[in-house]
Amino acid sequence: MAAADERHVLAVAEAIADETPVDWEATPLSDPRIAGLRGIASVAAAFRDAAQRAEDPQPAQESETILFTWGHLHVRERIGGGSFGDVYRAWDPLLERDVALKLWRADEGPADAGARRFLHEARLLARVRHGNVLTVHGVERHDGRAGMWTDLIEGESLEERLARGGPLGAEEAALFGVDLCRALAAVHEAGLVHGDIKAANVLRERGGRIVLADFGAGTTVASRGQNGACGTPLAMAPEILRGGAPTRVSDLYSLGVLLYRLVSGRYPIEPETLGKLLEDHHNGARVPLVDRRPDLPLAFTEVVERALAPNPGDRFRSAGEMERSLARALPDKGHDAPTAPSWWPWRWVAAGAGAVVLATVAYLAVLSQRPSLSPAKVRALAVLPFHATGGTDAEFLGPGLAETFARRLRFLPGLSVSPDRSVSRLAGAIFDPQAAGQALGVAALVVGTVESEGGAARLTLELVHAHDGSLLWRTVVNGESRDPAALGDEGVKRLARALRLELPAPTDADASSQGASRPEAVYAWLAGRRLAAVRTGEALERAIVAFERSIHHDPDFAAAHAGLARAWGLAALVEPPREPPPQSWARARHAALRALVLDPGLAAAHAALAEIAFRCDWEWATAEREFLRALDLDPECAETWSSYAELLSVTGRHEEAIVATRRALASDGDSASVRVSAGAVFLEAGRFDEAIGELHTAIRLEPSSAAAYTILGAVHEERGMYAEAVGQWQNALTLSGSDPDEVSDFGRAFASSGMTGVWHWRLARLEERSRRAWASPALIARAHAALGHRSEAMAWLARAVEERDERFLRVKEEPAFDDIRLEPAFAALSDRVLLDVTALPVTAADSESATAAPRHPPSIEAALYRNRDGRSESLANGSTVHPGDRLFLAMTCAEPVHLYVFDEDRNGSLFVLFPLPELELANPLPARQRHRLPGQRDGIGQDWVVTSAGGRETILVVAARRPLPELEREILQLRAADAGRPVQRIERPMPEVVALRGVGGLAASTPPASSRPGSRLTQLAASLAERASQGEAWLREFVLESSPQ
Amino acid sequence: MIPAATLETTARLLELVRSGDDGARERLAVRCLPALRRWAHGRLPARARGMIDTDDLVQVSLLRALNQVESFVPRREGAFLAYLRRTLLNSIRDELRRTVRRPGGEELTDAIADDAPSLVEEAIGHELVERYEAALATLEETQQEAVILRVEFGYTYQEIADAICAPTANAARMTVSRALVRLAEAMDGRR
Repeated sequence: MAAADERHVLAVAEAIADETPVDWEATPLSDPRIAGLRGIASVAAAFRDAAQRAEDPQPAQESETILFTWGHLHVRERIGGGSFGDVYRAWDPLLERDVALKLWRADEGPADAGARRFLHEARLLARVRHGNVLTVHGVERHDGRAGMWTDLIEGESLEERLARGGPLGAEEAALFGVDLCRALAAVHEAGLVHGDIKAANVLRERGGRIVLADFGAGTTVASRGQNGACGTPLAMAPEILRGGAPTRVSDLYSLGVLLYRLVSGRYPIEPETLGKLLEDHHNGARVPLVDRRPDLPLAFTEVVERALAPNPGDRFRSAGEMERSLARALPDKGHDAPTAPSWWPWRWVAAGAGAVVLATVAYLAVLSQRPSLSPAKVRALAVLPFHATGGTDAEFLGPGLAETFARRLRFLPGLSVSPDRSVSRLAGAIFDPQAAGQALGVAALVVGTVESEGGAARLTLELVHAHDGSLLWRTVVNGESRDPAALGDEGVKRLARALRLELPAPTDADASSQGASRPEAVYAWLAGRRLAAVRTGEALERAIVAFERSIHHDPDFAAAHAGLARAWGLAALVEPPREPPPQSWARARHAALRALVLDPGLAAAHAALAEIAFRCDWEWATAEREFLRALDLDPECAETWSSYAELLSVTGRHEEAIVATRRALASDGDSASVRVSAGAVFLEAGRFDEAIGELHTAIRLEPSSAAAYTILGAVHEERGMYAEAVGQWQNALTLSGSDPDEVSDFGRAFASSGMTGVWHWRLARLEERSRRAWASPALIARAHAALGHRSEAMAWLARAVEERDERFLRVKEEPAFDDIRLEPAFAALSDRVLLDVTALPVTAADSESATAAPRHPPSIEAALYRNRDGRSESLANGSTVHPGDRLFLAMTCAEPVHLYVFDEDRNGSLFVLFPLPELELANPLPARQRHRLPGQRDGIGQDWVVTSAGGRETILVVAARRPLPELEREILQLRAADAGRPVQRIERPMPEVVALRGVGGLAASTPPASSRPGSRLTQLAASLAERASQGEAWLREFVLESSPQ
Repeated sequence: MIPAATLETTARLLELVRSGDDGARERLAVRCLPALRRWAHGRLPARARGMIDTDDLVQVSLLRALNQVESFVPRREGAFLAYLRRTLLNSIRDELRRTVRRPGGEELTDAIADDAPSLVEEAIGHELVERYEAALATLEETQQEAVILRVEFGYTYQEIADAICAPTANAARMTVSRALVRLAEAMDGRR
């Protein structure tokens, strides 16, 4: 044997050893060793599958009656058939699930051209991997019969749907059409045409997935054209009926017929006899859809009519073009159709029981040959977000697992893996391997699916050729749903083997746990980070859910608490915010401090705290110190550099701000939010061209960035280009989800009255909002100022300062305030918040002196009451309370304060009475309102309930203008020590109350008594005494006697 | 799978077992059991899996092998596993004869045993498994071990290198690949 043959045989053996696919069709079988190796490959696969199954419980299906076996399939029942052969439901012991098996009629030997073509076409279809195309699992010949096995779809065909429910509406039909366009795009991209698009060949799986298949009468295109009985000719393009070969546009014609039929129940051309069909085509006898359904939207009708154009050149040129037109025809109700990647396999999974519908292969014609690529040659790839099904955390599991998977792959020497951010940018697009490959500069894409059920989990990994979407490699990893990381690790190992790369042992450097004890916590945290980076209200809400889910899995996961703090902080900045920003900042503060308690060295926690100090507390020195600490811990964090730059910008340190901005851009120039921030910094510095450049880049990176358009509008406004400014603001309004009429109205306001009209429009909108929710006082002030309403502007500005409205920091320099900028009241406000500082104090001591509070304590009135059957009974110092008594604190404050209430029992145990995270009342408490503590829950007022019996109870109430970090930390530590204690609820004797160990008595003593030297409460009070004496805090200690029974 | 990089290598454990260290025997058993259990799952006939506890079978076989360690002294992990595999195959057959009875109560004959395919046989057929086994037996010892460890036990190349005393993972990979070619030749020769 020639040396070259030796090398080839050895290469095949290596591929088997490496568990990579071997292209047996391209391997000459003349060498008997190849036949032997093929057998060994089967042996190896069988051992692998058996080992995997050893980990899983035996499926019940295995015990069903077997009609016969075909290859490794256990054939259970015949469910269809025709002249081509038979269709069965079969059990696949390797996949461990039911499949549809289509067996060609009894083989007539090598001359059976039909069988050969059947196999060839099935193999081609097997290369198409798309969520809307039937998945082919295998094609083989056994026992003299060619066959293929595919997904078994539970649901109904669109033909059955039509018969059952009659014609559809345009919207539903268009949604189906969008999915079918995507399916056809995948088929066409694979170099194939379907050739038989019709309602009977489209399945609607239970759960809604649309699957393109073929119930295959088993005829060729040619015979279809001659077979007038099968009904298919009515859906055929006229050029096919005239004998032409099926093409992509003829597929689109058939899809047009299908859509026509779905909404009308009729065909466009319905000849008296099929023999007259061509003549009717020739005579243009098609009935326009609008004649059948005049009620349908014109946009939809036009799509169908264009698809049905008799001349192929007048039709859509591609499935993608038709899909976009259909998507535009959909009413804008937030459908995911135009944006959601329906190729993602989350819509692949059958749900529930139903009529079992079998699908088999369509006729496919080869249009082109694809260049081949073996996995071993892949040296650049991208890991697309995995799709996960089953389990509460499926939304987070897939993308998170993919990200950690990609991280591990980056340790493979010689392999380039696309950055996560670049990949995630494709998530909203329709899956197009070629486009994705070009965009990411990779030859191959890793697509994964995680299925969880009960305690078992399965990860399916596929390596897809970016050139044409063909499958290069596939593996299935079985494991336990409680350990998804193990699935990913095994997947990485197998992929590394397929790529013929040696995977280094995991090191601390590639450990991606971030300190979390459970991988689910990491995945949810990763999802939260991705979502928070989007910065829209909706994305931030989902980010918060993700971080909370992460904390649910690992309450001590510091990074998740820090992420939650950042998300809440960003939520406070969204316009409009979903809740009053002070509440969001309070939540952010709680989370940030919790993160710091758990990990004092966590950069993200310091950054979150810095954000709060900057945007909520306006504590510049604290903010700068925390930013610098965060950057010291993580010098490459672009987000922190951006925020720090904004702090410097807001405080007038523009040159430094630009330096920090450039540092952020150097760390991550692909981040749209970093670019937006840079735009804002350049705008503040008066460098408009650079601002515009950054904002345009941001829009290119993230076309839906409303913030970029908002600031771009501001830049144009600064330049006096008002029409351009309004245009950009209209874009921002649209992207923020405003009603189109509202956006038009805004434009008309400008057209009729110029910028005065704009400001009137804005003011009306803000005032309307303020009547039902929180509206930014700073923005209202700006509108009033622009309209010349000086007194109103000043009043709202004062309120903005009082509420620490972050928007005030961003609007203070705007031209709208030019007329009132020199007024003493405005200057006083500026002084109060030190907006005009030219040199920021950089030490804590400087900061405290610069921001020194007035030397008198906050003015507070507080009284403790017992609630007896709805009547309030004031309690005096030394009063005796009884177990079960319901108590509450009534208080008012002349200015916003942060309030803390602690309770200590006779044993020295310390409890937190306020703030309580489950209640609606949160710090800071607004001024000039009567507050009833502990607050409300779901709109129901809550009381503290005396639960202790006997002994003395001491309550310490502390109020301050600023949050008191020592108390915040104390609260967090107390809660961490006994998470159930502070909000422990009891159902008896009163429902819906907060249970505490015991409170009672009312007394005022300043400074606090130190009757219990050494107790924790005494220590706390003592630590605050100095602050109280300087007017920074207000303290009250209440001592109660608890009845022994 | 037996962890390759542990403080106590399998070879060291074998030495200790030979010297009569009962603790080492226990540790060796614990280390080998998972891989053997997975392997046995594929080799046990489907219909017998409900009647025979795979774990019991594997443990009994392991016990037998360890009891004979003085007469058979494998020095390499690979050789030891190959030995265990052979012992286990015999045990499976023995146990099937002993425990699986037809409805009439007759003992399982060879023919009946052959009619009870294992998972692996279900997937690829009895004939191919037989050819593979027969061809495997013709390979030299190290090649046998390499094939068994890679194909049947799913060892990584590094683990195989440790088990067959190959200098590197890549050397183990080449050993496996060349052994597969030899195996293919042997399989073809027996057709």
